[in-house]
Amino acid sequence: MSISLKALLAASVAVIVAAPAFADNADGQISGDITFYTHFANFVDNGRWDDWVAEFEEKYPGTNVEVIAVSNYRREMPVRFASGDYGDVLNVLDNLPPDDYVNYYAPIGDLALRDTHQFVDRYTIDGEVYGYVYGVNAEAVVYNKAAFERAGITDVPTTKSELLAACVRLKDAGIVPFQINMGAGWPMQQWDKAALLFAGDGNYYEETLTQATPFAAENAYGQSIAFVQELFDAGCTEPDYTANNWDQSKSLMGAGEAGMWFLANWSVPQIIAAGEALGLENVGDDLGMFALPIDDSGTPAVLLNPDWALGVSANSDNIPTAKAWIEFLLTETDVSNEAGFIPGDTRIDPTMPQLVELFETDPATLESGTPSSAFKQAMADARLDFMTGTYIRDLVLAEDGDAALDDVNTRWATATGN
Amino acid sequence: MDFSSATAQRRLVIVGFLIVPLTLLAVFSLYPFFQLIWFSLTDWNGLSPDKTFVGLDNYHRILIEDRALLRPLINSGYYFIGSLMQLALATYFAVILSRGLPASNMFRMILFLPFVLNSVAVSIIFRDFLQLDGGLDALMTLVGLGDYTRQWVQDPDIVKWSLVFASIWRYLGFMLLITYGALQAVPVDQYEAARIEGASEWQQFRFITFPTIAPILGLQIILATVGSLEVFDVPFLITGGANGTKTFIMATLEEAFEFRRVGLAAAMSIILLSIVMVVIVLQRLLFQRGAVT
Repeated sequence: MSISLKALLAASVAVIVAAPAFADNADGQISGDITFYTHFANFVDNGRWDDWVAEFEEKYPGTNVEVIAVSNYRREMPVRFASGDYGDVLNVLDNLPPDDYVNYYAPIGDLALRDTHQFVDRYTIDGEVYGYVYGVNAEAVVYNKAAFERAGITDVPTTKSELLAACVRLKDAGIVPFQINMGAGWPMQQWDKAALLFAGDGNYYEETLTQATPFAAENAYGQSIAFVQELFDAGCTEPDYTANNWDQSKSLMGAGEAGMWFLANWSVPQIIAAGEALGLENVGDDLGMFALPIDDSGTPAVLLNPDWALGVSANSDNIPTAKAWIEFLLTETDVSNEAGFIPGDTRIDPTMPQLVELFETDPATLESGTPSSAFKQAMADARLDFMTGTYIRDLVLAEDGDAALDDVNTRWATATGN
Repeated sequence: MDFSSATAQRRLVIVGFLIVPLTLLAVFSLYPFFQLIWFSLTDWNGLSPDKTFVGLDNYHRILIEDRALLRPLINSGYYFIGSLMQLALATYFAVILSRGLPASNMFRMILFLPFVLNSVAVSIIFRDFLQLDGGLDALMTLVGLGDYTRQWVQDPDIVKWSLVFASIWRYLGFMLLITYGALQAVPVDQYEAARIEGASEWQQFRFITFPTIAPILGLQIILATVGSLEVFDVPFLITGGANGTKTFIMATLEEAFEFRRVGLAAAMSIILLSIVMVVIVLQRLLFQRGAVT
């Protein structure tokens, strides 16, 4: 006991003494150790991180990247933030008010990829850039072609009536028509996003700040919630709606036991993985995407939404290497395509067939604006968990829907003072 | 100090043994507790380096301005009723088991097993068990009760009782163990004397067993009350708070980690703590009086 304690003490003293010697890197050289917190645990499992780290370390000898996968990023990272130790490279937390970026992230606007990257504005606060996105998501319906075929649906729906008709046919064929994953909670954030489609305005969130009742049936937010409510009430959604069946729902999509869901392209690789885990082959060939028909106009739009961005910790003691890692990852590896995104770097084309199919018909696109700090704060003050979705779940399940909607509108009005 | 004297050595041993548990207590229990009180007086968001002192604003908000925050406490009522049923069941099984039922060791183990299981595992088992066409429905169809299956977790009127049922199953073993232990203290000769006098089984329970274990049952009611105020794992994992099954602890966590109001959430915890303390004091007073008569 006493010996091991002594050894431990000696070791920790050695670490304390030695650490600054090779970790401190203020002279701008790309070398030394960095720690990278990622939400892509699947790339740990399939060894891709190891490959990319090896390539990086070969390009910049003397560097060493430690990759740490965090499963519940939004929950776990703030705890690390509070401790002050959150590595060198990490995602820019999207539930953090943009005005606070300066407290936690280092400005990284001097990277060359700034000119070739999308959605840089979104992470630019007071002229300083704090993050670069992995890629862009096209928020649209992912569907299983084999399931559509079995239900006798030949053309993808382009109007809301066709969508509802397709749901009925799928249901008659014993297929779950439109999974919304209400039990998992977070997939309900899609209807926060769909509000932008209903408004036809990527900056609609800011507009709500001056509205007294954005959730009322005549306003875009209310229309979005009414849309999912209609799908739910018509029995188009999965029968088990309280339990978190996210993993199961991916298998159902892969196997063609479920027809559609309204998520983005990032979900496609996950469906393929879930289908292959069941022993199926060529799952990807069965999957396609089409724009969510929110009305009967016949010209549905695709919402473009940036995915996680990478930033550098303000507490990093090796900022040059951290910046080099971000630049390398986003411009020289295929991380975005492997994750199923439209790559953030405009020079890299999306390779996923489903994305190619989606944009084949040249649908209108809508770029999602940045929700401002004021909007996020108002949502939190109204106790509406924006982008987490449980409030939408509670609205859909409410026994007295109108009263629940009124309550949400009242809370919103109190929070914004409208 | 002279370490050779017996008193000094004794002191040294006492201090030596106490220092470890006291340090652990201070570091992991007392320090966080005082931190919590401090947080509850600030508007800390959980991230920011600065915390502004706001006095009793958080408490004012929960208790007066925005009472909706306290609404999830109503759900504790269901769990309290459930825990009374649980106590009755536990006492019933304990009495039967202590009567030397054949294979009573096996039954004791079966009844206690759920408590040893990991509560996450239990919740996931129940989540699947209570699903549409899940284990419960299959079982009911098998025994010919197929017409009586319900939407156990989807129907808002039933879901609360389904969750209470899961909690009862999980914690029955613990209550059973305590009651069973208390029963061992009942002198056997009293039962013998009672039987010779011609007392029935019910009379033996009413006049010999019950008075002996009454203080323990009182303790169990305290534990049950506190437990039902602090329900978390079962509803969190089975429904995630859907269908109005959100409990106070879940609401507290949501305030802290979803809406970034750690100060307010800390105040909610302190309020819950105060309610628990009031309950304990009340019940101590009542049971002290009960024990005298």
